[in-house]
Amino acid sequence: MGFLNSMNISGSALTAQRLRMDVIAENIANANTTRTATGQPYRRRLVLFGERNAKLPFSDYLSTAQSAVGKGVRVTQIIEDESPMKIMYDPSHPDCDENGYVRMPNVDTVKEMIDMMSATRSYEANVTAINAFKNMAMKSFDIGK
Amino acid sequence: MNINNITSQISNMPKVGADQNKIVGETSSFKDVLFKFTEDANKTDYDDKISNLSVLLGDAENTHQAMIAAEKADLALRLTIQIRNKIIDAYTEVMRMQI
Repeated sequence: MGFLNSMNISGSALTAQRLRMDVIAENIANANTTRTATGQPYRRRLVLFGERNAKLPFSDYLSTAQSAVGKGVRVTQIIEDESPMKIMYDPSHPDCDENGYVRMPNVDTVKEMIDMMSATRSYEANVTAINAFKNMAMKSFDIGK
Repeated sequence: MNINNITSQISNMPKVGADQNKIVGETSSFKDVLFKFTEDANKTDYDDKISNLSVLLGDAENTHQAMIAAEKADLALRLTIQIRNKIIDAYTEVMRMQI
């Protein structure tokens, strides 16, 4: 049924936003991590979204070609922010260099907060879309009443 | 979730009313149509149960997936009920016919 597939589109967005939220939480949690497995400070991570296309068998391509609607969104990649690390002077820090400077993660908590709000709002918007789908489907049941 | 059967049923439905002489093969009797719809409703209801259970057990990756599954089951059930009502109406209409 068409409406059930429509819900999958918004469902994929909900999943994607949840993963984005995970990445943001990871960034905030590691805002002061100066040493990771590589010995470097933590690098801020970012989520890249991509369109999710249907993986169809060849025979189905023609029949679905009329509806140019995709299958929602997916996270294509989690990339690292290549912006420079913040330098902080703290000679007592165990990870400081010989001049007393510590390289701190390039995580800006304010930016992360904004991203978090954006993820929350996107999630809400997609829930609203699902509810709208449902209301439309319910309306169709009223036909003939 | 296997809803395809419902969809194929719906495409068959108007034919029952439109052309009484040309009723499509398997859905030839009220009983069969009704039975098929009940079966489909049971299936979606079952999916719903599985999904909710996995949430309760802490297995579900995302809570929204369970909710969407529940909504889908709800919609499928409502559609089934609507079609059931139509079929029962048609049946009682036929039974009331004067001979």
